[in-house]
Amino acid sequence: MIGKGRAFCAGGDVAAVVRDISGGRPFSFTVIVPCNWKLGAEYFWNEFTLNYLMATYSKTQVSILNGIVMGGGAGASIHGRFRVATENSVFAMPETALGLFPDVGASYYLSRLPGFFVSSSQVLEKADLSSFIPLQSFQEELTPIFQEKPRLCAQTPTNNNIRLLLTSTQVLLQNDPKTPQNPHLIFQHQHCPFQHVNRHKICNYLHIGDGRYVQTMRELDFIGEYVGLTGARLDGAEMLACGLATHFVPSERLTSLEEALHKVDSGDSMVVSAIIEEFSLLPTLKEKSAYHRLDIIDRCFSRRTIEEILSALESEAEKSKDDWLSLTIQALKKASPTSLKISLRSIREGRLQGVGQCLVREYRMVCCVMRGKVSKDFFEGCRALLLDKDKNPKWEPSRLDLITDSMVDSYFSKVDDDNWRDLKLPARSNLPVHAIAKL
Amino acid sequence: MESSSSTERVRFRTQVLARHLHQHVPSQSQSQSLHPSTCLSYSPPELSEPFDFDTRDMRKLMDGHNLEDRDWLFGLMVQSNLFCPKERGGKVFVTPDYNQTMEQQREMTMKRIGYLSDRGVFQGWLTKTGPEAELRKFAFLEVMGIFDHSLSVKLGVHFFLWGGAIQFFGTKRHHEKWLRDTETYLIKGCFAMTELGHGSNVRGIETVTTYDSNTEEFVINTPCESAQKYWIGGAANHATHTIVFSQLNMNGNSQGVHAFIAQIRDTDGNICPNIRVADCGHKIGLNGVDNGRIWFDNVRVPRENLLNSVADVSPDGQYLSAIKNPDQRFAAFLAPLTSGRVTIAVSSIYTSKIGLAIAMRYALSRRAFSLVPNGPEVLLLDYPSHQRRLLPLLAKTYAMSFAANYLKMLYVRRTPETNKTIHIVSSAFKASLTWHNMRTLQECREACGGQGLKTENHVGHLKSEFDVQSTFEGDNNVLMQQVSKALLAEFVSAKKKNKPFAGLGLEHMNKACPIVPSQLTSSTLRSVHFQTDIFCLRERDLLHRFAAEVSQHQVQGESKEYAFIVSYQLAEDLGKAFSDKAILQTFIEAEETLSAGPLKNILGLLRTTYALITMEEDAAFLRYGFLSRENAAAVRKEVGKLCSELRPHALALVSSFGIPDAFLSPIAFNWVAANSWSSVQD
Repeated sequence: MIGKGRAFCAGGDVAAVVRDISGGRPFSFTVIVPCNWKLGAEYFWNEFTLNYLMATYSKTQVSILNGIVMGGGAGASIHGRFRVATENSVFAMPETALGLFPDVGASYYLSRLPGFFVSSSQVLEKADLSSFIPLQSFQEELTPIFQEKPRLCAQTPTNNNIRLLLTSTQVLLQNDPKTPQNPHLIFQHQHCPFQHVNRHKICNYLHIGDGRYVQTMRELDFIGEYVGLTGARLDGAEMLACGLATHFVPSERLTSLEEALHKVDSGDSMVVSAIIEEFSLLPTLKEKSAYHRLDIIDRCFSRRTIEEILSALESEAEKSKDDWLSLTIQALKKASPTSLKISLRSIREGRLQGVGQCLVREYRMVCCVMRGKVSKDFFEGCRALLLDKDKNPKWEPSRLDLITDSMVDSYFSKVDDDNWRDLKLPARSNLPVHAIAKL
Repeated sequence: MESSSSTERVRFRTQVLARHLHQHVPSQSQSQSLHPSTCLSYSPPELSEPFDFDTRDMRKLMDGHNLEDRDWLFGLMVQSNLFCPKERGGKVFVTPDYNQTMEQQREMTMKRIGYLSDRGVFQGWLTKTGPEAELRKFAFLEVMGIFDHSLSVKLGVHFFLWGGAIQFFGTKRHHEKWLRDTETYLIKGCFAMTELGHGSNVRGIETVTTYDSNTEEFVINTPCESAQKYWIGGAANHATHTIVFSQLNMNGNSQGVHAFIAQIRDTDGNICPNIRVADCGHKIGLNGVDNGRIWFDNVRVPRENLLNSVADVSPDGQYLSAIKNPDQRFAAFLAPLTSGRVTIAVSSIYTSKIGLAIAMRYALSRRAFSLVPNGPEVLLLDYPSHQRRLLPLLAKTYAMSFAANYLKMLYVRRTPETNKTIHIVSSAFKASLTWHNMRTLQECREACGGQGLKTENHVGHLKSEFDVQSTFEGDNNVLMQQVSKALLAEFVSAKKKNKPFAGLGLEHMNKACPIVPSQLTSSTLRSVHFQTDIFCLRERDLLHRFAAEVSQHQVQGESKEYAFIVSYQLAEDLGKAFSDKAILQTFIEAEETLSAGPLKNILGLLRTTYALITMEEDAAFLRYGFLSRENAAAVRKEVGKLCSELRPHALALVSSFGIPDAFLSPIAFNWVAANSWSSVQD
């Protein structure tokens, strides 16, 4: 799957949906009355069903994300098997600024973004380290490498910058013949931990010498909350680092990649993966990347409520002056308060649910948004950003503290309308495992 | 290679076709033969089990409070590798690695606590008060107990026992000095009450403390081996401070049991002088908790370290207490410690939910035996016998879930007047619910067959993790005797004063004795009125019998205490009757809050199942003639019918428990993929 022009897909035509709902009346002149919200509901019903089919599709889908990937565009690609990013990729879920929330199954994939790869291989276990934390035990071995790469991270290795390093280096584990129980870590730069697809699932493997590999584990993070709530834009390198993309291929190689894919004419995910791998390289993260702030993201965006997230960010900002922090706080303050609350809850619930359950919940939510009973922010957001373009939406309720729990609750309940029903997803029985879990 | 891959393809194609065909076969015609496929494939029960009610609404009713907080905490755990996420059959599960050594498990528990503490989970656990803060705390403890019992016990000791003792036994000076540091884990507390020689009988403990007015210090001593503190959670590895329960001896006069604060380790983890600590060793469960033993050798603590809410010692060594009678002082002292029983009762019911959710999901995806030769095999839960094993336990779990919520509310809204009720109800519910849990887990384990034996599938392993609940915070049998004793006291005092019964749910004794119809029809059996009547009749009659038997012994010249212990059989029956009736009552009250609809209907079905299975199981109904033989048969028949009526809702009912998939186990989902050869290769 490949986009036409400079975008992969910038999302659904939100303005058209809003036009449908408001009965075709132009916005600028009238108070919006969502009289036809069911037309919009039908649109989302179809879109979410498509998302589900893609998420559970057993055939290999390759999406080449050479441009903008937002909202609906993300829904059409991230659920698929391979997502190829390029230097032109721009990913964002900007819905909270629009009075909506990250939909198209985003509560599923955003809540599962692996921050980085951490080796949790058996080799490490043999060194008698507990199942996690092993990295800290390698601090001594790691220190020289950190000094070698001061650009990448601070001088002393912490758990977090070790992870960063791992995304850009290949770990070589060599058995010292004298102490076979105590493998030494040797690093090689400029190599990518690459993906290997076996019959049932994608594993990330690292080379440990002599053609042997160890499986790596994903460490999860709260970057999904960050991306989903602030609408932050990620570039190709960041998409790869957080797992939204599976590969990074420079755009100049795309034509050859496409040709190669056409030539093999195989749907076998292992074959496809091997081909993309040939064209892939590991991009370097920009210095300003949010990825260098995983610690702060983790500390702040793991908080229980929007209010607590904001106050955690603000107290970080007090400690150190940082443009990234103020931009992040600004983004949260500009977004619809209602959207923030329901988005956070949606991602939190999504973290514990399957992709089908996520879409059913998001469908309930989107219907509530379009009915506009609790808040009409979606229409206001569309007016201010897409139609009038004054970029000055007047949110209602205007403040976080004016939104009660029961208001938030209502977005997650069945819609109180006789003709309304929950999203009914097509039965997909006997799915192979890899068709359900792709992220 | 070539040929094997082509047969592979043929087999794959046949399976695809078989699946297409399968969808057109109406599900009720199970006898219609399908060609048995070469390999069993997993089909998620969600595809064939429609939900008749909104599981979200049911979850709200089950969890009762702080749902979003719960989901946040579940999410925090799923996000961290400290909680050992493992992919099995396309799903990620989190569970402690029980294959680690005891020492490793203990360290992991502590690391998990550190992670959660950094993210603000324990904020306000000791520094905030009021029902809202307490309910949030309870919700979090329940969620962590769903992940691992060691984690919740370790927290329970630190916050509820050590922290609770300072809150409740201490005064302002203690609160200011200790609570904040406890909440942030600057210090780690433990709670040294039980000894090798004394467990339930706290009043008999042998540790002795004297006062030295020259230095204004208390001197704590372990006078003999049976006085060593035993089972002290946190003592073996991590705790820096402890509450010491000890006899206070003032100038040769024993003033009864008092509580002191003593430091046992310095900040570097070295054991303090005059303290000896030993490990309790490997246990059948809870190995993530470092239970230890402590000996005190003339340990000196400042005078201020006496927790002095009930009694104090002046600098010059005067013993001061508003309560003169040591017995009463002791009772007043221990009354606030009921929170332990409340949390145990609640956590045991969540554990039953885990067991049932796993066993039920497995029974909805695993098949065994065909009814006709070459016919498709039958789903386990479609066997009436399998329904009969699991569904009554499900109904009881629902009933007890309401009971647990009621108890929690009773506790967080406590007043000095409700202390007695809380003590009795928490004793009864703690015993009933933890016994129920052990029984449920055993049945679930067996219902999962061999798969139930694997640690990763939880059900079997949970038995050893939760067995301790029938012992700690009061042995279940002792607690039940206390319930009967309290009921008897109420009875005696009402008779003596010639006053109507008030409190403990005994008001029904003021009314005329209910009459059970001689012929029980299905609709009678299902009526709330009948169920309430027969449960009240049983409690009332047993209380009369128990009072009569005890007084008969007393008339014969036996002491009250002796009369009580020889009447243990009736005491046991009465305790059960009280508990069962109170549980039923909470169920009925929960039902009454709902408006008519599918939710209310299913709860009605569950409540009847709970009532009838209780009647069927407790021989007292037949023994004392509350049910005739015919009626008992009618009850049994009705239970079978109820099971088949509950069967279509089984999946929806366990899905309403609010336990995320990641906290169940591989056999609850795609167990074929979870056990495939390729999963071994990874």
